[in-house]
Amino acid sequence: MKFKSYVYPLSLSAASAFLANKNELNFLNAGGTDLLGLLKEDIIKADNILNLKYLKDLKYINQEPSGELNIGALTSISEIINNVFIKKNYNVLHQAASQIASPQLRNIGTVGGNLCQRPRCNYFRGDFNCLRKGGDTCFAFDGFNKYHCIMNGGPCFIVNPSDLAPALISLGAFVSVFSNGREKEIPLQDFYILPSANYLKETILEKGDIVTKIRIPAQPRDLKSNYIKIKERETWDFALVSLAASLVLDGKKITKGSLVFGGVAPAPYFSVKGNKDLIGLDLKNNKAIESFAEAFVKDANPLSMNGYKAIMMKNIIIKLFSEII
Amino acid sequence: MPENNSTGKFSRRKFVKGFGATVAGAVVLNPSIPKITKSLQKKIKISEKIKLNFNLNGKNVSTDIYPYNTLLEVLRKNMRLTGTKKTCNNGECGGCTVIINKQAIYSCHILAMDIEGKDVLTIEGIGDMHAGEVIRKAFKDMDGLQCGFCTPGQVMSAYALLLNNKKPSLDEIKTAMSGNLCRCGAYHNISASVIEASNKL
Repeated sequence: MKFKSYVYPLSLSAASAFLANKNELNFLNAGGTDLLGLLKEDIIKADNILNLKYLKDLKYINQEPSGELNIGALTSISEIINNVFIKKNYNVLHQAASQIASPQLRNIGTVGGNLCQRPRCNYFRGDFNCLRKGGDTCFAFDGFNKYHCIMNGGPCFIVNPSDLAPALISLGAFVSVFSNGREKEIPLQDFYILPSANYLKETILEKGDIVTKIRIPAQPRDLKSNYIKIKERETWDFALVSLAASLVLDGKKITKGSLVFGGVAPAPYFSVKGNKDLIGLDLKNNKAIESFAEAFVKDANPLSMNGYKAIMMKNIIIKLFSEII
Repeated sequence: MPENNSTGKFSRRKFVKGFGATVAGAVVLNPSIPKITKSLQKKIKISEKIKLNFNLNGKNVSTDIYPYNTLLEVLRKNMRLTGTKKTCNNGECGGCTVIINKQAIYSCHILAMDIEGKDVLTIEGIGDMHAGEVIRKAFKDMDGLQCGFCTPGQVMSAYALLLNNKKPSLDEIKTAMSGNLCRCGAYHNISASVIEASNKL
């Protein structure tokens, strides 16, 4: 591991100011599960590592009287899983958190870190000077692209590896970012950017920005939500395709809802038209479900080895609908 | 050559031993090594040695580390506790599992700096405890291992599970043990060992 010094910022603003230094490459150590991997493999070069673990006021799960839920960015994934209120009311979030990595990593990995983790592309993680590392080629395009995106790709074809992001976006969550001494709140779906906009980073975060909080607005009482994650191994793996769904049903008819996919695009994938078509869908009508799922994957543009993901996307929608009734 | 010869010459073994002690002594006695005191010490250069204080297997210990040392390196090299295995060294396999503040974590994937003031429990520390003894016997009786290299990590994960959940279901056991890989494929017997241990505890 190569870095020049280890820093204990005493406050959020001190950490942000340190991070914003234009002449140095500084990184945050929250849980460190992604950071240490990147440092050990020499994927990033760091000047300073900033330890956030002692900033206690970023570690909380607060349930507001209004029904809102606020989660501090330093909350560990295990704390999400063990929270009884989340388990009871936000099944999609509980399921997503339960399927992240392994128990040992869930115990130290944080919510903020999960949302900001770097992609798992084998070329990005390997010894390749790929587009995302400042090179001029995306090796996945003509190479081993079994795990790459089928939606919104190009010029880089990563997928977003987060499980929490699709779950939180399906719940309409907001993320707070501490920037230039102020906190600003944005919808989580606008937090991620596509490679076509900027292929060197995955989120809107600029130098000096720190994710501080997730806010989930109050949900309808009869919310039905679930998260299905298809992986190559039964456990301890990233998603091939995952689907987060938060729905409100009237009998067997959907009156409100949102579907968000993980593992298929460089950012959590949702379709505005798809979510509109969701309203009024009858879950007893198999034909209607089939054509709805078909329409969802119409925009898929697979590479040479990942056409299976389009079929998986279609089937995962059907599976989720059959389980949620 | 006998080890304690009276000719006055040093044997190689004695020399190495003595040299090691001198180096360690010099480091321990050096007063310029700063403590991690968060209010005073804000930036620690990677070339500086730091005194790390933590509770290891019930005893307060302190040792000198570099900021880039992982907990695994400190346990194996500084504390000479080699029961915790260095296997993938990348937070993937579970061979280095230890328990920090009652939670199982990969010791290869956390900087030693981050455990200042915390309680660390290793495979060496649970041997004398009742639960550790029961789990060890269960692994032996139920044949929960083949080559045994992953076993310290498996035992630590089992210990962490039983610490928080006295009677886990098979599914809960599979989930709790899923971060520990066994290349021999002894998973079936490992699950059986944890069930056996939970019945005996």
